[in-house]
Amino acid sequence: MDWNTILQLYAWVIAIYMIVVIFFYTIILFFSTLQIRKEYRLSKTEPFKDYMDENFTRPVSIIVPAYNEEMGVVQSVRSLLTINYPQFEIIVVNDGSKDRTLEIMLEKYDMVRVNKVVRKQLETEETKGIYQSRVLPNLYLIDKNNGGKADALNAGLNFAHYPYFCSLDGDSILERDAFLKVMKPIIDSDEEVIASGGSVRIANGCDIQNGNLINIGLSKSPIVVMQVIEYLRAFLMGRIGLSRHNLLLIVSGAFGVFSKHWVIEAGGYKRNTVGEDMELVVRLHRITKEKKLKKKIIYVPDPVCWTEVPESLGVLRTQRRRWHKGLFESLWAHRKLLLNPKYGTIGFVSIPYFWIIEFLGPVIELSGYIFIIFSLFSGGIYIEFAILLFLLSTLYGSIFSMTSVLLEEWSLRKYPKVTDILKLFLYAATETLWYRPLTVLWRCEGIIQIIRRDHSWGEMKRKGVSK
Amino acid sequence: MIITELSILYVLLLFIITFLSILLVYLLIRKARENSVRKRINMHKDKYRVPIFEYLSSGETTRLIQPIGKERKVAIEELLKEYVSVLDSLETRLNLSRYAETHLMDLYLNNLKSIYWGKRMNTLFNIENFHMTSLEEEVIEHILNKQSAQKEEKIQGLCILAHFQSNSFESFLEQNYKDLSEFDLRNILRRLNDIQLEDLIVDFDNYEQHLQCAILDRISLLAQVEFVPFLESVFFNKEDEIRIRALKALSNIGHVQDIRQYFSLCQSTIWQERMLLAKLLKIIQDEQAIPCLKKLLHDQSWWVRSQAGQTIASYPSGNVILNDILIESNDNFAKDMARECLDKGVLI
Repeated sequence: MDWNTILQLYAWVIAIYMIVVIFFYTIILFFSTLQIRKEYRLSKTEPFKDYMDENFTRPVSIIVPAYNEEMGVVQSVRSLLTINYPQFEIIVVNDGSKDRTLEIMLEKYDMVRVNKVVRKQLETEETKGIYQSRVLPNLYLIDKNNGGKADALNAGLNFAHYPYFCSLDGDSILERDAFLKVMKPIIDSDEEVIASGGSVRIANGCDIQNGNLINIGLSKSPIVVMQVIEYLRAFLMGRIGLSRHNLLLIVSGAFGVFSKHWVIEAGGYKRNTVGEDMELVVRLHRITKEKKLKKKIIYVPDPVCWTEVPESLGVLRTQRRRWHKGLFESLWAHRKLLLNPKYGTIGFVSIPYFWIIEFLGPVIELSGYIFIIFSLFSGGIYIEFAILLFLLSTLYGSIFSMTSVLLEEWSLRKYPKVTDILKLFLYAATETLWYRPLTVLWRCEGIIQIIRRDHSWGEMKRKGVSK
Repeated sequence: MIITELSILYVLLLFIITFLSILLVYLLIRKARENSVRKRINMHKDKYRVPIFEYLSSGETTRLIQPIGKERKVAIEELLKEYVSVLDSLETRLNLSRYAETHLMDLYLNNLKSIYWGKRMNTLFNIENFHMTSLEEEVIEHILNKQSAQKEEKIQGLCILAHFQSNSFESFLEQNYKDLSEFDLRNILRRLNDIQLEDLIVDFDNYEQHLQCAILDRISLLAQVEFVPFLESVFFNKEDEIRIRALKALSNIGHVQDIRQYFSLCQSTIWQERMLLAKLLKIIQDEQAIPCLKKLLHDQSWWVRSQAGQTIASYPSGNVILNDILIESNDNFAKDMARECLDKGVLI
C-alpha cells in the first residue's frame, strides 16, 4: 500500500465514524424531541402543587460539602433555606477546612454542639463534632477531618435522617421548585426511580441576588455563550434521550437526588476519583442489574439548577481535562460492564456509547482536524476529503447545537429576549470553527495526562455568582 | 468518486441549514409576538386586579370585569389563580366559582377538546382550583370516558370528581384504579371527606391491596376516632402490609379500645410493628408497658430504638429509666439512644 491509499483510508475511517455518530445523535434527538414536546404549554406550577403536602412527599437531606468555603458557604446555605419543599434538612460537612468555614457557620447560624447518634454505615474520616442551629433546627453541621469531597459526602450520608438526599456544590443556585420537580418522578413511580437528575444551566450573565435567581440573562463573553449552548445540547438532546431508555450514566454533577438506601447499599461515594458522581451512577446501575431489580435512573428536562462556569480559556481548559480524566476513571473502574450481556442495554449501549463517542471521540475528531490542516498544504485529492470531513464535522458540531437552541426555544423557553435566541443561534453556527476544536484539543490533553499518569486535578477558581 | 458524496453532503447541509433558518425565523417571530401578548395580558391583569378582588368579596359585578377576547380571559384566569390560593372564606370562593363559570366556561370547553396534552391538563387543574362543578359532566365525557385520555388526565379527572364529592366518583375509581400507583390513589383520596370514605370502606374487601393501603392512609391522615373500630377489625383480621398500615393509622390517631391487646407486638418479628407499638405507647401511656419499652430500647433496629427512646422520655418517670439504662445496660446502642433522648434539652 502506498501513502496515498493509507491517507485515503484514514480519511474514510474518520468520515464513517462521524456518520455513525451523527446517526446515533439523530436518533437521540428524535426521542428527546418527543419527550420534551409532550409537556408543551403545561403549567409550570400546577402539576407540583399536590407534592407540597408533606404527608405525600418524601423528605430530603441536602448535603453541602465545604472545604475552605468561608466566602460562599453562608450564601449557599441561605439560598437553600428558601427552597420550596415541605420537609428537608441541610447538612453542611466541613471537610477539615483550613480557613474560618466552621467559625463563620457557627456564628452566623447560632449553632451549638449536640449529642447525636450516627449510624455509621459508610467508613469515613473521624468526625470531630456535630452542630445544630438554634434558630433553624433543620440545619446541621458536621465537623470532620479532611478526606476529600467523596468522604465528606459519605459522612453526610451517615448522618442524614431522610430517605433521599442530594449533594450540592457551593457554586450552584437552585430554583425554588427544584426538589419538587426532581422528586416528582420518584414519588410517581412508587420509588422505582432511585436517582433523578435535573437540568443544569449556566448562571454567568443571570441576575442573582442573595442566592436567588432574579432574571435570566445571557453573558457577553463568547466562551460563556458557547458553554451555554454546550449545556443546552448535552441536557436537552443527550440526557433526555438516554434517560428514556434508562441508559443514563450521568446524574449531573451539579444537581441530582438519590435514594439513600441504594447509595449506601452500593457502598457510598468512591474516594480518590475525579468524577465521583458518574462513578456512583454507574455503580448504581451495576448493582441493580446484578440484583435483577427493576430500578431506574432518570433525568428531568426542566432546568432546576444554575451553576457558575469558567470565564477564561485557561480555567476552562483545566476543567475539561479534569472531566475527561474523570470519565476515564469511571469507565475504567467498570470496564467489566462493557459488552457484558449480564448488564443488558447498559453494557451494550450506554457503556460503549461513553467509550466510543464520549471518550475516544475527541481523538478521532482531532485527527480529522490534523488531516484538514495537512491537506491545505498538500492539495490535490486531499482537499476534497478535507471538505468532506469539514462538512461532516459541521453537521456533527454546529448543526446539532443550532438544533438544540431551537429545541429550547420551541419547548422550554427559558431565555426571555428575542435577541438572546438569535445570539445563541448565530454563536452555535460558529462552533465548528473554533470552540469545538479547542475542547477537542483539551480533552485529548486529558488523555495524554492519563497516559502519563499525571494525577493533578487542577483547581477551579470561583468568582462567586451571587451579589 | 468522492465528488458525488460531497455533492450529496452539500445538498443535505444546505437543506438542513435552510430548514433550521426557517424554523429560527418562525420561532423568533413567535417569541416577539408572544412577548407582546404577554405585555398586554399583564396590562389587563393590572387593570382587573382591584375590580376582581372587589367582586370576589362583595359579589357585585361591574361592567369593567366582563372579559371579551382571549387575552382578557387569560388575564382573568391568572388573577383568579392568584386569588384562589389566598382567599378562604366560603362566600368569596362561591363568588369565584360563579365568576369562572360565567366567563371561562366556553374557553374551558374548547380546551378540554384541545389536541395539546398540556392545555387539557392545565384546564383540568383549573376546573378543580376554581371549583367549577358545572363542568363535571364534560370532564366525564371528554376525559374519563375517553379511551385515548392519558393516565395523568384520568388521575386529574378523578381528583376533580373526588373534590366535587360527585356521586360517580366511586364507579370511576373502580374502573380505573388498577392502572394507578398507590401514590396516585393516595393523592386522589386525600380529597375525600369522612362520608365519602365510609362509602369506600363498605367495599374495602373487594379492592386490591394498593387501593386498600391508600384508603388506610387517608384514614390515618383524617385522624378521626370514628374509624378506630374499622381499623382494629382490619388490624386483627388481615395480614402483612395491610395490617401494618392499619396499625400505622391507629398510632397516628392515637386511640385504641384496649391498649393491652397490643402488648404482644413487643415480640413481633416485623420491626415496623414494634416501632408502631412504641409510638402508640407514647400517646396512650401505660406504666405496665415500661418493661416492654425497655426491651424495645435494646432492639436491633435503629428506628425501633429511636421511637422507644422518645416514648420513654415522654413518661413521667422517663428520665429516671433512661439514666438507669445509661448506667446499667451493656448494650452500647441502647446507651447511645438513651443519651441522645436525655440530651434533647434545648432543641426539638
